[in-house]
This record gives sequence, C-alpha cells and structure tokens, in this order.
Amino acid sequence: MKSSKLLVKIALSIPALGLSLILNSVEAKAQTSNSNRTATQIPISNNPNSSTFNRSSFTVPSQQIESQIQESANNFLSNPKEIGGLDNTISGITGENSDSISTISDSISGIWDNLLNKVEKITSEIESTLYSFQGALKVPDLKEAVKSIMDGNTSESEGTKLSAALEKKPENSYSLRENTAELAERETAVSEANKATLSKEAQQKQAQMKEIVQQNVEQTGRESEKSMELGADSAGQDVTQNIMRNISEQSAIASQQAALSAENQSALVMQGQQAQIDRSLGNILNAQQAEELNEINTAQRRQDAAAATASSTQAGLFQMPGGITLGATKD
Amino acid sequence: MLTQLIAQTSTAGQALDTLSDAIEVSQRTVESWNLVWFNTFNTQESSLWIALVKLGLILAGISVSYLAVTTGKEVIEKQSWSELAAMFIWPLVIVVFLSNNGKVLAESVKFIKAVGSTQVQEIMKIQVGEMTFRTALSDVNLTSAGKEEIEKLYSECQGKVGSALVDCWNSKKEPAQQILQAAEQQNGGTLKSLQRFVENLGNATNLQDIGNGDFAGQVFRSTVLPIIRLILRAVQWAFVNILEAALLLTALFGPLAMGLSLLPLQGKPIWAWLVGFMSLFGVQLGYNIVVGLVAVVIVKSDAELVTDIAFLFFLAVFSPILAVLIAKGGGTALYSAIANSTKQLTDIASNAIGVMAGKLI
Repeated sequence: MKSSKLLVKIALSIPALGLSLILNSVEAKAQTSNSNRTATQIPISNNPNSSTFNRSSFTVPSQQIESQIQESANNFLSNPKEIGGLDNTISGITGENSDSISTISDSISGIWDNLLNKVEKITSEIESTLYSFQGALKVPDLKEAVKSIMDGNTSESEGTKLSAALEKKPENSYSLRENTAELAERETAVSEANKATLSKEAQQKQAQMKEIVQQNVEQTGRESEKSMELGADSAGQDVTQNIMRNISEQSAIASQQAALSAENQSALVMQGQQAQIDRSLGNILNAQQAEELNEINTAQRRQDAAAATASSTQAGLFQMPGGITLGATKD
Repeated sequence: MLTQLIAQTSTAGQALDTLSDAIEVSQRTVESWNLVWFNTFNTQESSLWIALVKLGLILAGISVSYLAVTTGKEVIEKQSWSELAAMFIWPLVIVVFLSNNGKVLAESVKFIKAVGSTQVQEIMKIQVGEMTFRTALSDVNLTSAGKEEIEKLYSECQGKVGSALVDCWNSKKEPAQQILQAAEQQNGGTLKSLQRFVENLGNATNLQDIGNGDFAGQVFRSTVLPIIRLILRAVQWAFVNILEAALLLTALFGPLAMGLSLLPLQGKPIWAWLVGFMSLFGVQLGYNIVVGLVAVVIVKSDAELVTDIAFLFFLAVFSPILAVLIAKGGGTALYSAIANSTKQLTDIASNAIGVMAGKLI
C-alpha cells in the first residue's frame, strides 16, 4: 500500500513540476527579451526581432516541453496584437503626431503671414508717405516716416494748407509739420490694431488659429486616452509582465501629462489672443487720448495766432486826426 | 496783393499781408470821410443839409416875430434910428447865410474845415531833429506791429524742449527777416530797433543777446498781450473817429445856431457854435502834437520795443484826455472873449449906423 501512495505522489508532482518549469522559463524569456526592449523609449518604433535567448540558461524537463515553450514564446514575440497591439498602436500614434505637428505649425504660421501681408488702408492724407516706409512685416517704419515729414519732404495736404491759411503762417511751419508727424504715428497705431486684431478678417483668422489649437488639444486628449487604455489593458494581462505593465502605466501617465500640458498651452494661447485684443483696444484708446491732447494744444496755438493777427490788423488801421495813416506817404 | 519782396510761394511775408491790407483799409476810410463831408455840404443834393437849413429858417422866423413884438414896440416909442438899425443887422446876416439852401454857410463851413484840417496835418510834418512827427509815429507803430508778427512766429516754439526747440527756433530765422523787410518797406526807411530784435533772435546759440540784448527774450509772451494791444489800438481808433464824427455833427448844427441867433440872448448861439467847431480842431491839434512829441522821444531813445504797451496806453487813454481838457479850457475862455467882444462890436456898429442915419435924415 505505501508504495502505491508514493507512486501517486510522484506522478502528481511531475505535472506540477513541469508547470512550474514552463512558467519559469517563459518568465525568464520575458526577462531576457525585455532587456532588449527597455533599451527603447517611447515612442517605440521598431519591431521586436526574434530575441536571442539562451536556451542553455533554461533547464527544461524535456525536449517537448522546451519546444512548446519556445513556440509560445515566439508567438508572443511575433504577434503582439494578442496583448492588445501595443507596439503598432504606439507607432501609429507617434506617426500621426509627427505629421499633425508639422501641419499645425504650418497652418498657424501660414495664417499669421496671410494676415500680416494684408496692408491696411490708412484713411488719411499721409497714406502715401507711410506706405513708402513699410518694413518687412508691412508695418510703417515710423522713425523714418517722421523724419521725412519733419524734413519737409511730404507734399502738402488740404488740411495743412487750410491750417496755414487760418493761422497766417507759412505752410512748412514747424507746428504744422509736427502735427502731420503725430497724425502719422496715431494712424499707424490704430490701423495696426485693426489689421492684426480687431477687423472682421483678423478676428476670423484668430478664430481659425484657435480652432486649430483646439483640435490639437482634442487630438492629444484622444491619444492620451488610448495610451491610458493601453496602460490599463496591459495591467490586466495574465502573464507576469511587471515591468512591461509599469512601462505601460508610465507611458499612460506621460501622455496624460502631455494632454494636460496641451490644454494648458491652449489656455495660454487663448489668453494670449484675448490679451492681444485688449492691447489693441488699449492702443486705440491711447491714440484717442493723444488726439484729444493734440486738439487742446492745437486750439490753444490757433487762439494765440488769431489774437496776434487781430492785433496786427488793428495796428494797420492806425489813424491820426487829419486823415493821417501809416504806409508810404503820397506826397 | 502788395508789393513785397516775396519771391517764394509760402512765406511769412504772407503774415505781413494783414498789415498791408489794414493800411489800405485805413487809407480808404480817410477818403470816405472826405467824401462824406463833400456830399453832406453839397447844397444841391444833400437832403440832410437842406432840411437843417429849413429848420434854421423856421427858427429864425419865430425869433423875428418874437423880436418884432417885444423890441419893435420899444424902438417905435423911442424913435431911435440906431436901435432900429441894430434890430436889422442880424436878420440880414441870417438871410445872407441861409438863403439858397444855406450856400454861404455851407461854403464857409467847408472853408473852416479845410483850413483846420490842413493845419492839423501840417503839424505832423514838423521837423524835430532829423525826423518829423509823422515818421516817428510810423516808426513806432510799424515796429510794434512787426514785433507782434515776430512774436506770433516764434510762439510755435513755446512748448518745445531740447533739439526740437533748437530746430523750431532756427526755422524761424528767415521768415522773421522777411517780416522785417516788409515792415521797413511800409515805413519807407529802416527800423533799427526791429532790426536789432530780429538779429538777436536769429542765432539760437547766442544766449547773451537773446537773454539781455533788446528784450529779445520777451519773444515768448502770454496770449493776453495781443488782446490788450488789440483793445488799446481799437480805443485809439475809436477816439480819432469820434473826433471826425464830432466835427461833422457840429458843422451840421450850424444852420440851427444861425437861426437861433436872432433871439436876444446873452451870448449868441452862433458864436458858441463857432467856438465849438474850432475847439474840436484844437483837440485834434493838441492830440497830434502830444502824440508826435512822445513818439519822437521814443524813437530817439530806441525804446520802441520796450514801451510797446505803455505807448499804446498813452495813445489811447491819456493823450485824448489831455487834449480834450486843454481844448475845453481854452475853448471856454475863447468863447467868452469872442461873445463879449462881439457884443461890443455890434453895439459900436449899430451906433455908427444910427449916427449916420440921423445925419442924413
């Protein structure tokens, strides 16, 4: 009786041993092949080749079991879709990423260039002067324009002529030139604010850029979701793949961070757009203030000129009893 | 329009055009006054004069009837030839002057006016040293007007600092020269003070001259000063034209005074009228003399720039008061003298006629 029990125990222990051996060998395989994989960072791009593992490091009970182990290991290595297609998906994502990043940057800068290349019409008489001094971004070089106006190289406009007649000053008088130069500066500020930010066309383009950023964010969100799914997926695998699980989780976390960071960036972009709008409005209000101050000063100047002209006229009317006036005598 | 030197298109000579235009207007004003005098005393056509003469005659008629009633009775009772003759003198005079639309009166008024005006004008030609009253006045006024224009020119630079101030200042040099030349052309001679003013202002780096020389630093001024000058010049113009108007008005009262002279009053109105008329010429004369003298003093002391406003006050406020007071004081005395002596003359004349009549009859 004792020997039969012993025989049963031995018989039962063989599969158990075999099972444990199989498990150990695959784990060891995983370790070996993982050591190749840990060398690559995310995005993982290359297909795992048949990893070289040392058959000699394993102790297998029999050749049959060994071949089974090897086959399943090969299956695992060559058919990653069984674990959820991690590798292809990752390369798929990164491929899309690199494509879409270049598309985004092309489109945003394209829109911006398109916007700046449009030359805003300045509704003023110094239009031609300002146009002739435009720089590469189609913004007038104010320093040159002002210098040109102050040197008297600008053709006279109707407003300047009327001013000169009313104040009884020569047309190239200093204040009149200064007024024209200041007008040029104000007009440039207002027209730039309109061109880049406030006009309907500019707002449309800004909205387009916002769209693109928004799409960018959404895409990043989707991708990070996928990444997280993968991470969860690989966490639930039966095979003991601790390290791979960890890496998947790490990639999931990293992509989540990227999604959050993209959202932050988009928030910054939108804030930046709003700040641009606010600055433009601020510029327009500043230009209005400058105009009001200019009006006060110009009115004061004209009052002074008018008083002096009236006094001078009265001086000419000087008369003495007996009909004596100024001017060359007739006798 | 005027003659100035201007070759360029937009210059500050344009600024002195206001002065030239104003001088032309003034000359036209004087001619208009002469025209008004001529037309008013044109006995054929001037309805104003004719109406006044008629009024004078009516008054004379009333006076005659009054006299006839009062004095006539006495004369008839007294049977005195001399008194009768005396009674007829004035009516005869009035008939002579006021007949034919007051032609004789009109002519005599015009004569007096011509004499008076000529005298007043001649005063201005009096030579004091090497200048006349007229040239001195022209000098002072044109310097003042030129200074006004130059102040206006430089007032543009009033708010500037730094290199903007220097640029603005330097750009005014040429227009200031042009103003000076235009003013000298109007004067018919050089304006030394104005020349120095412009030269001192010309160089922005010549701080000594700008600060101290000839008050060039006062080129920046408040807007109040042109307004004060405007008011004073306007007051002076108003005074001169009031005198002209007063002359005309007084002359127009001649027929009335003549008509009222028949009344047996202490002083005949006609003498009052005559003295009043002459006093006005006296005021004009006095004004011219006083103003001319002070102008000569100012020009000789090169003080045209600094006595700018003070001279205008003198011209507009103080000289008129002085001239009127003196003429009035003198006029009253003159009138009393004439009135008294005329009575005596009339008495002598009537006595003489009476004696002769008595001898003949």
